[in-house]
Amino acid sequence: MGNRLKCIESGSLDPYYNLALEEHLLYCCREGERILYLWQNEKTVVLGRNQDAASECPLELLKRDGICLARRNSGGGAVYHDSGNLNYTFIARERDYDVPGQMEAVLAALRGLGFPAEFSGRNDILAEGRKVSGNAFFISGGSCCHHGTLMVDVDLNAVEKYLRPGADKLAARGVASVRSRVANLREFRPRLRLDELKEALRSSFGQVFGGSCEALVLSEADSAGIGKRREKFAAPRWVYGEPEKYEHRLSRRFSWGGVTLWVYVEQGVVADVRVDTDAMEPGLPEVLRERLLGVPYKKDALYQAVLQPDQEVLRPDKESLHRDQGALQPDKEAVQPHQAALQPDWMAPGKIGGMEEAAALTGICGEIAGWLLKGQLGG
Amino acid sequence: MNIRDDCNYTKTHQWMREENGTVLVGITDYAQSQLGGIVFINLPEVGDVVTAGEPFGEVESTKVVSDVHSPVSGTVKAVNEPLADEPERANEDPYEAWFIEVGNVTDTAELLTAREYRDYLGQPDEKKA
Repeated sequence: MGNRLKCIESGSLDPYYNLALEEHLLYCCREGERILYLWQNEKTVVLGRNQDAASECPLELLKRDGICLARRNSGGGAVYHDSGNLNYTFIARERDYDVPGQMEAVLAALRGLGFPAEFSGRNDILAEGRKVSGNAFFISGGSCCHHGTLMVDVDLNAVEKYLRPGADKLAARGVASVRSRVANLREFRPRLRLDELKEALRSSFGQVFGGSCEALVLSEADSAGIGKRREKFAAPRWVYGEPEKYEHRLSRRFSWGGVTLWVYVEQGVVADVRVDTDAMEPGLPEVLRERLLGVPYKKDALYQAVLQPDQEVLRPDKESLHRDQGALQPDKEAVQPHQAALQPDWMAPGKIGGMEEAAALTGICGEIAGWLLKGQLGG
Repeated sequence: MNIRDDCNYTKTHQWMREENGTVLVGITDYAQSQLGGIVFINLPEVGDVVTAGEPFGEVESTKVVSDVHSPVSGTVKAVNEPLADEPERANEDPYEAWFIEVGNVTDTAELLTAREYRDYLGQPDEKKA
């Protein structure tokens, strides 16, 4: 079973087209068939299926330097592709799918070219302990996809530059990348050519699965289908992966940690809010959520809501006095007293437990309120 | 392999059980053991319509991203939001870590009893063991 072997190579460097072609092959694959698909992307950061874009790469820098950002169907971490990278994809129906056989085909191709390739526990292929290939997998509608990268001559400076968190690193919900020590195959064999690597892959694919590769030719109907799928991969919603429901994303890094508010507004009021933060303050997400729900989505209303006096620290002292003034005068000046609440004497360790925590929380809420008052609430 | 008698099963390894006129849906112990460490779960939203045999969400594990199919057709009444924050719960306690609660059920996919699902997986009948 699974012995009709088909090979196809993309003639495009467009990451969205290439991912669309892959998905198209997945849904066209029949029982008894195995497909090997080879493709390359222009300079692109490719995110894993469930990663937070802003947490994985410096989005502004990508834009400035004209680097594409794409998101694949499979899981795992972000990778950087350029024309020095060759991607391979194995596609088969569930009963024909054979990950160990497919890995063996890649390993045999590399070994045949003289590389000391070995499989690691973590979906990687290593050469002398450094990663030259990462693999990821997805299953949909009974079809399975196993794809991987092969670093031939990737710009490693670009890898460093574009695969790092933006200045605004957040603790967003999502799958975080794992860093690896990587290497290019050309470090081991400087004269390696892309075409010989492709040929080696096709030939070991045939050897492992017993057959010869028949070229898969796309029809006009295929091209139309791929064009439709390309729209999915190129859509900002797919790429940036904002939770569909939350139309506003407010994000800010403070001295004590980052906060991202994902806000869903219905009829002008906050109908739902998700708080992502890496602040050490216990209970901060719950407090913010509680204070923001049902509040008009307007700067001064949000400001007042977040400053809402906490019953436990409400006492006639300097701090609450300032807070009240702030609430009455939602302007630029009013923000200042609350920042004062974050002075080291408020945060100093050694104060009595509950009071110290409550005061710190009040200070933090003060800073957040000030930010909401001054910031942009746009989409 | 844990297969609970109070649930029905699909060949795509989801469980469902009726509670108070609605249906809870999750993935089976077998599914979670095949997936390995689950790192992310994509869930639909309340009010979404699900179709028997069709995917309604996705699970990402350290190995693979895989569809999750609905055993029934109906409307999503509730979504297990805390599960999205702690996806590993689907590994630890798959039959309590429900994904969605479906109401207005109009149709079901091919369902297996616990015993049939055990046979399907080629597992010994634990009930008698």
